[in-house]
Amino acid sequence: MAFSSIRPPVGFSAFAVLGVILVSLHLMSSATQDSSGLGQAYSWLLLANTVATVIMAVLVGANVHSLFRQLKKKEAGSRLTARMVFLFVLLALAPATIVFYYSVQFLHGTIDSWFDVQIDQAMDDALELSRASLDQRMKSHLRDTQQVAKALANVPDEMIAVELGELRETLEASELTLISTQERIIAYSSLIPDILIPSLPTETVFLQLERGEDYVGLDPILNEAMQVRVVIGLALPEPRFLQALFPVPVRLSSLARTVEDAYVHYKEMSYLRNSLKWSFSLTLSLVLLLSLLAAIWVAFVSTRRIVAPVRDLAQGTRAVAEGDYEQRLPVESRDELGFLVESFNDMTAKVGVARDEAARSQFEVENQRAYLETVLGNLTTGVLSFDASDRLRTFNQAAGKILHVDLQNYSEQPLAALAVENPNLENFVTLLKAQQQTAKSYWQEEVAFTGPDGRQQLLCRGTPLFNALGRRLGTVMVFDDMTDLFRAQRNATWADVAQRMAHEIKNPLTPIQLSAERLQHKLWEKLDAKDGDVLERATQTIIHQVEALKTMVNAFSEYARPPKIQPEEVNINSLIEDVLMLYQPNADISFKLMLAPDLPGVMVDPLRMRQVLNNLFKNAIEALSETPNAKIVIATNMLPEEGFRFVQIAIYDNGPGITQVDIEHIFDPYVTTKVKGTGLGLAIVKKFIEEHGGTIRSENSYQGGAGFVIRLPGAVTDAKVDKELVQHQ
Amino acid sequence: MKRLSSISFFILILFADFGWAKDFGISIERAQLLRQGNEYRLEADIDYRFSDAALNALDNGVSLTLRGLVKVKRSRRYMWDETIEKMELLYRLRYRALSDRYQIVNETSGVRRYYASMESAIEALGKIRGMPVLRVERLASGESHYATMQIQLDIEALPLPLRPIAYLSPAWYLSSSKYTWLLAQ
Repeated sequence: MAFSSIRPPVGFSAFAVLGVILVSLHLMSSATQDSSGLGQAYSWLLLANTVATVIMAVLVGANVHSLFRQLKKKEAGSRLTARMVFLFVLLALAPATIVFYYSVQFLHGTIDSWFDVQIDQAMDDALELSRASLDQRMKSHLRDTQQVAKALANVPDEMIAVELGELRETLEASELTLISTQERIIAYSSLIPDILIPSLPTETVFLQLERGEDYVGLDPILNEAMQVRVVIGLALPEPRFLQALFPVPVRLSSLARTVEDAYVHYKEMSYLRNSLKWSFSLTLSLVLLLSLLAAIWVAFVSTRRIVAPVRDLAQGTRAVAEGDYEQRLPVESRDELGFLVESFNDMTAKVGVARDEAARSQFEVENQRAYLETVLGNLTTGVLSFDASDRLRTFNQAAGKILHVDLQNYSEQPLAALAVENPNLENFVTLLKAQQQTAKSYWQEEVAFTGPDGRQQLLCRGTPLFNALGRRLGTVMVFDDMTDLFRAQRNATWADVAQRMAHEIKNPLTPIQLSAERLQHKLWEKLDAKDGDVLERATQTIIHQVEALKTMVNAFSEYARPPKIQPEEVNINSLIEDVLMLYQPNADISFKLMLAPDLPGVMVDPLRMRQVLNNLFKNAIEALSETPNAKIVIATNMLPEEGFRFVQIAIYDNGPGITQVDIEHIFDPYVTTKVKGTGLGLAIVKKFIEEHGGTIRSENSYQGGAGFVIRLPGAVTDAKVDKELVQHQ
Repeated sequence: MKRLSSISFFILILFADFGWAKDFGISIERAQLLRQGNEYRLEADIDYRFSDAALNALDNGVSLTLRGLVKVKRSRRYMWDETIEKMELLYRLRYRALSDRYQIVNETSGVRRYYASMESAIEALGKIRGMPVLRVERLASGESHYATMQIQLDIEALPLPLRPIAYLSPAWYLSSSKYTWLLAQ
């Protein structure tokens, strides 16, 4: 478990950013208070917080955009993230909005409460009172100055300075100055002798004086003190201006200044009321907005961290579903999610091991199955298995070969389909169906069918398959082609019988013949001519019949004789032509030869093969004795089959043919359709052919006559012949 | 091309709106440095046309601070011009309710002047006479010198609640363009 990579739930960077934002917001909030001394930095703080808000908005926007893309792509964990962020935002937004609304209301209400009509009036009245007090003083000073000015009317210029001093003391003025209309100082008297240059009135005052209006005004002086400036016009011999400055008592000046400051401040505040509301609301909004955006951003960051294990789990689960068991998720926390991730890792590891074991087992099963298939495929015994619905489930190569059917076409097909398309297998299918339905244990049956090489006999053994509950699952059956074995047994039996019979019959024949000859020899002279004739006919008959019997017994003995063949490579076409030479003079029968030119040689005993052909030709000629336009067709050709070459000899006639019943037993000894004959001709033919490893079958030709088809294995192949085989195939 | 023309036209209209439509602003009509003895003194005529918002604020006790900057520079061919002298002008215009006068305070020198009307105060504010800027020896002989002057309403000096609005409202953006003139030695 990788606890070394565990990190705090929210990154330090997020905390740092939040800290900076909080400090900035606090400074901005403090700056709105005059006492904080941060007023000068207010604009910068406002700008900084606005920029921070924009950055936060961009961050949040980027996160929202990213989340939408993830939702659109249906990425793992995106819906959970969206839900959690929405919940966080809702939790943050709802109380913040309520607090904001009531804060703004409270703020506006508080600011409005500062300003009141009565206070307005009181401030105006206070200022007016101050003004009235000062006005009264100013009017008094103006009046006094105007009164005193009359005293200067008859004073010569050289005495004016002295007179001004006296008048200044009379008026209790701080300064008295006589100014010409050209704004030049004529005379000057000051309470403070150090002041060399008197304070002159402004141009505006002079303009007023030129209009004939006396001036009285309040001038602020140093240290927030005030003085009353009175300037009046004098109608002396030449027009002049008299300026008198009266200090306002410090107490009165101070009070008036306080009233003025309060009034100005109140008026300024009153004027800035809306700005104040707007400014505070802006600050509050910025604080709220920035806090909310920061909260949303933190919500995104923390949600992503919380959801990360869940997302990893979802991706891991998806990977496992797709078969990837190598997924190992990082464990990033010690909480329940960390435990879940760890459990997931354990589970995938175990599933991976189980999968590997299962794969190994399956591989072994496949190997076993392949081995079994190989064994089955190489068995010469046919193997078939059927399910409970009679459908073919398993078969091997030998089964198809024995049945001469491509069983691949019948895989998963019901048994009936086999019989429908192969009527010759009906007996076989019927047997199987019967056993499938009834057999409760091992069974064994023999069944015969007609294959392309004639009658085939099968020995079938089967066993029903049951599951653990005793329910029938199907049948497995093995079968062997017993045709050759049965044939060999029958041949052996016949040979034994023939040997015994030949021996038993032949033994008394010579004494019978000798006795008959002796009878004739001894009695012929003693009997008269008539009796002698009878005796001679009788003895001759006995002798002839014994000869006939001997011939038959010899033939029979020949049939039973153990094979002593001397095979050599023989050209069948030449052999057929040689044998046929003996029968060509026969004018009643036409022979048609259809001999394949490139026929390979066959390894046969030429004498026996000659006998085989003789027997067959004789057989055909005898069968055609009463047939008009008798015709015998002899055809040879080569049959490539399963890597071997077979030479096929077909002999057809247009005689009466063979009945279906006779076809099955025509090669058995003593089976004949002719009046004459030993009944061993075809039996011998078949025996000889089989001794050479060939087969013979009888069938009716398309012209209605009988037909015999011999198939003999070709001589040993060489490379050239192999090539021919390939071309043939 | 047509699109570019449309944008250009829009920008033109926008600037035209700022230039023609507004009836407030500050323009330096004349400024020069006159040699008096061993120093150059500034004489300038400035046309202050305050916006209604600014005048209204002034009447309601808000002080308006005007901040100007005069620079004397020496032209250089291969480098940026050297600033020889830099002087800041700082005036505060306020209304005194008790005396019903308008006060101009030169924050640099501390001189205060009172005017019976707003017009006279603004007019007086626009006339700068004999303000010493630099001594003659600061100017290198044979070199080309010029001076620049710019003056603007200082928003940062406004009361705090007014500043955000002032930053957002064009009525509070009162600034002259830079006035430049060659200095005759």
